[in-house]
Amino acid sequence: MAKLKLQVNGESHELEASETALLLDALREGLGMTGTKRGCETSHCGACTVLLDGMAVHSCVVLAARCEGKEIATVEGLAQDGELNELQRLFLKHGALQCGYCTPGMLMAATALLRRNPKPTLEEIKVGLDGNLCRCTGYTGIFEAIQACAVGAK
Amino acid sequence: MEIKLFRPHSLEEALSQRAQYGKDALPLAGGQSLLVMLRNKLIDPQVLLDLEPLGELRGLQARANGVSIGAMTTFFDLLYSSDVQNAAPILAQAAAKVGSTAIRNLGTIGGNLCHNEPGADLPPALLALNASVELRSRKGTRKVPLTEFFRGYFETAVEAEEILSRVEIPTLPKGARGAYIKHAITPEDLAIAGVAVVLVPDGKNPVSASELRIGLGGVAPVPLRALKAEAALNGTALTDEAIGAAAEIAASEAEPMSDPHASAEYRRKMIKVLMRRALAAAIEGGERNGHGKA
Amino acid sequence: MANKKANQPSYSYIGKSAPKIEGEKKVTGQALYTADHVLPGTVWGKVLRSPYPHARITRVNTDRARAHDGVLAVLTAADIPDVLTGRRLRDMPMLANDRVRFIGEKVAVVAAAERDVAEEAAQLIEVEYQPLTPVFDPLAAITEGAPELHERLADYQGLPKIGTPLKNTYSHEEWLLGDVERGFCEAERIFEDRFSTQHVHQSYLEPHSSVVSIDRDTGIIHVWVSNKVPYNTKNSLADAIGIPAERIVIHVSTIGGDFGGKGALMDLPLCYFLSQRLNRPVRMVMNYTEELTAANPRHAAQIVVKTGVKKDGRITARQIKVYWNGGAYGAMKPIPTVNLPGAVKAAGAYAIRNVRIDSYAIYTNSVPCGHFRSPGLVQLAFASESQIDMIATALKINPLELRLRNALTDGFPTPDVKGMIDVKCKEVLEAAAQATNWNKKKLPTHVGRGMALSYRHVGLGEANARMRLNPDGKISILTTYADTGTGAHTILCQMVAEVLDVPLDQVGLEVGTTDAFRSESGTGASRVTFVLGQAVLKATAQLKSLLCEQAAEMLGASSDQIIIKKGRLSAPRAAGRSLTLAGLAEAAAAKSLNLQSESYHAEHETPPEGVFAACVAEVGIDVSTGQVMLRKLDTIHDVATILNPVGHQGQIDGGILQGVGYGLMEELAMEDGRVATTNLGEYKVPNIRDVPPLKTTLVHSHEGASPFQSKEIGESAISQVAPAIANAIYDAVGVRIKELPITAEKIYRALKEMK
Repeated sequence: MAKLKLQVNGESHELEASETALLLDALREGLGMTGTKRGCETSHCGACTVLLDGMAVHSCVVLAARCEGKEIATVEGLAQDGELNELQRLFLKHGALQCGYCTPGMLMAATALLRRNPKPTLEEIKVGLDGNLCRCTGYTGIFEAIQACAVGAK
Repeated sequence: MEIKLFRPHSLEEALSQRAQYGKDALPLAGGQSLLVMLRNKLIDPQVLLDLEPLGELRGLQARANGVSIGAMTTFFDLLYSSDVQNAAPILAQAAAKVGSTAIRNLGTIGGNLCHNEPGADLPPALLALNASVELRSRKGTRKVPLTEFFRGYFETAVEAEEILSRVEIPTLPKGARGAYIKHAITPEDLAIAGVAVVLVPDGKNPVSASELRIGLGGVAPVPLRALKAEAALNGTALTDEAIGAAAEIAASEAEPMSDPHASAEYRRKMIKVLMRRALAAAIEGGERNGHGKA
Repeated sequence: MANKKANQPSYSYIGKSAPKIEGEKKVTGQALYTADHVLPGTVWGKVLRSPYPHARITRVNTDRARAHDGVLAVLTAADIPDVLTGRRLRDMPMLANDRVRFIGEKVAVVAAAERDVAEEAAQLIEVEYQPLTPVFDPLAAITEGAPELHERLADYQGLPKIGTPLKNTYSHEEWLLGDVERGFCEAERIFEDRFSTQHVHQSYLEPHSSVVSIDRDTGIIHVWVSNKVPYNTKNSLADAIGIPAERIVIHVSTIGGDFGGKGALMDLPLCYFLSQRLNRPVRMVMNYTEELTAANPRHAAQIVVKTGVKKDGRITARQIKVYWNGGAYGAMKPIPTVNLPGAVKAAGAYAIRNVRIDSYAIYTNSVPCGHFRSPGLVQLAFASESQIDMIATALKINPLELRLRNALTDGFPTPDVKGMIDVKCKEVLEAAAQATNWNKKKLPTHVGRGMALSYRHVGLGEANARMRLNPDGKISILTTYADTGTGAHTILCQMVAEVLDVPLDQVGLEVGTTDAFRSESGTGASRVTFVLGQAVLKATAQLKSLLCEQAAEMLGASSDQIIIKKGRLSAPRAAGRSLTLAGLAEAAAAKSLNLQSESYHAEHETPPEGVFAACVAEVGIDVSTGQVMLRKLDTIHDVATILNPVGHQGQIDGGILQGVGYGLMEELAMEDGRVATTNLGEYKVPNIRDVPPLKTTLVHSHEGASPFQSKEIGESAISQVAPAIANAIYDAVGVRIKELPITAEKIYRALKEMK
């Protein structure tokens, strides 16, 4: 076991975890932050996507120990003071979620995409979210939400 | 038994640990393959050696005699590097086709080569680029051409006390062009068959090619150079017949396997199709990195 | 995107896109799915599974596992009641006793505080197997020489009375209309074709999860489980563990996708036994390999379709035989006949006087199968709609024309209902033709188009609803139906808002526990809007009366004079005065009056309104590799009132893409009973890059069986996609693939054979 210090959504957390604990487990079990979901655990579904220093990563294949000193962003950090951010509002408006299980990961991947590329084309959206599966929506609502966000981007 | 994570402060320290533990200490590069294998209990190391702190394994430098790429360079770095795009564009092309965005963000060239999964995208491109790797150990450094690096199914030339430190790509000859064409069920998948071609086109109508190298992936337990096909084509006019004959030879050099997604026979047939396409693409200017910003 | 709707009555809340009412929780990560419920002291349970498809268990030794550091409990069949479980047919042990019947069957379970420890320890359990001859092909399983998989079948609880002498067959459902023999005699040509479909997995992203916590003082067993039929599950669990159902409370959780796959007990009984033994909460979550190999996928099928036609294409008779590969147990199937409900629609959306359908559910030594969106019909529509095009080709008739000639009409009987009303079959076909310029569009080489048609009905069942006026003035619906992503909860709120004329944000919905009501069917079968919707409307009407009564008192008017408008109650006579719902609530509270209503609703007979849908696929084939490029998918749906447009379109888009996966890339590849695709990299679910250009065309009717004249949509979009694609591929390059999925390799081989 080892002591880990993780910076999540701007806040510092200390926890005990095994040396080779995965970031996904550190967040969900160690910190009780269950917004990030456990899906396939083999890096294919993207339900576990979080941002690491602004980059979308699958937390099921990231060692928590490697995240010390880096900024981790999860879905819990998107809303500010209880107010949904624009991407979250547009996801709701455009039917970009149904069961909601892929949604945290999808939001984080979209956030990373929009930060690098505020006006992505449809093709660029597809590449940016190519690691996030959704079984419910057929993805069209997701495209619309991200495109709407891009259009509204300042 | 809890696995220990060692975070060496220097490559030397990492090599000492490799020397001490041998195959019980696995180097951890991007983790995108290794951590999945760990989760599925396909490997059982005592120690994971974290390579992330090691500066010697980073960095991408264009040098006079070629490009030197640190083992910890990510797919993301490769595809956005202007050095790679200038000096070895098919490597950027291949990197763009690996897995998904999140995997490209963290996965590394060193990890990808050492994992050696059939159908991986970088190896055929690197083979066509005549790449070699640098393997470090406490005893010293050895350079291994990529053609000798892939030993068997998921097996490489990396010895128990070694760590792959750099990938070296020699300067391409003037006028060289290339293309990497992949056939898969969906874009994020491993290749059912992948063909990378580098050549220097010569003359017109018909074009002939020199310095021709062909890398094949997904069609044998290891990625390989289609040496006999190269010999048949190198320096000759690239007519339809010549290409067709060479494609047959390339297909016979492969040892494809059957799996739930494609039969061996189909893979062999696809080599022929992809070789034609890769040659055509290389001659006509090569497939540019089709990525927008991501 | 969807066309503008015509002729829809003017509603204030119905018919306007509303964001999901639980959406805010979902986009902030606050929605709690089963595995997110972590109680203090929770430990993990992990299962050991059989590596053999068919074997006797001769010895089990758990010593090494028990001795492993950190292990809290190890259970085998010897430690739990010898009870068979199942949603209807109770044929599946909770842990294999003396025999295993599929690779992945549960043999033991281990509990530990750490998940890794439980997994490691499970591998230390020593099990000795004596392999028995397995059978994997349903057509082989019914032959004389096949091993008998369930000798005690006749004793199983829930065995349907539709017996059959066929070996290893536990259900044979048969439908007859007219006289097929005579129909075939009348035919001028007869076509008989075999088709084969694969196992596919629902691929909800949330794996099956269970959490059990037993209250030490009351003995109440608290359950959180990714299961959309909580009352059935409560009763099944009670029988399995031998505890009265009154002691079980299921807290209906947020479910991360279902598509029919989350109705069985799965690990829940084992979770209970561990919890009971350890006096601690226990959590079990299937990893995705377990999901892909040992959950309850869609049945694979061998289908034979025989169709007799006149020279002009009119169908005189249609006979379908379907042999379902049901896997090792029938336990996962919920309907009383333990068969697949879609089988009755196998003959298609056509006016055929003579139909015979035989549907056989057969045991084999592979993963037990269950329901998946439009169960049975997805497989059969592939077969029957592919054959329609084959007939069209042979008779040299346009496939559209052939379908139009046989299209179902008002009042024409089908094997499932005596006749439907307001049938829009022809209209859907014509709209499909118009939307795609079917007869005129010129296509390049190797590009082709194909169409397919299907029909469905709403599902039956029972539902409860309780409604009340909250102290804060909000109207609250209490339900124990899960919204598995379909948007049902949002629609219910919209309905209430509409009926009461109350702003949507003044209507809320609470999801309760199984203590709320006695019993109900649960989510699925496209029944929710139809059955629960009506229960909610009844309860709303009752509540409305109470509200009006109370308001009448306060306003000095009579109940029938009360008007509710935008959440305010007034009476014309009580000029100038109006009440808010909050004001009403306050007054009621002062009198200790509970303004609350409850209702129950059941539907037992399929209503005469059906729903029709078509798909037109346009594909391009790379003839060198066989790869299919989906250039465009058009879907055409017969709709009446659309309750929530954004939700409605979402159900269409999601269903379509599942159809694309089914047709082109998904397969739980079986190698001697072993699922070879063990993760979501190998099992290919459509990714965002696989979405083709989609266009939806709506055909408007007026009669819908469900509230506000709405029709079902959840299971309507999927069945016609794969056959449309198969037909398009034939149109493009002249190859007919009769085995799913249609891979590039299959097309490549077929093209080579043609040369």
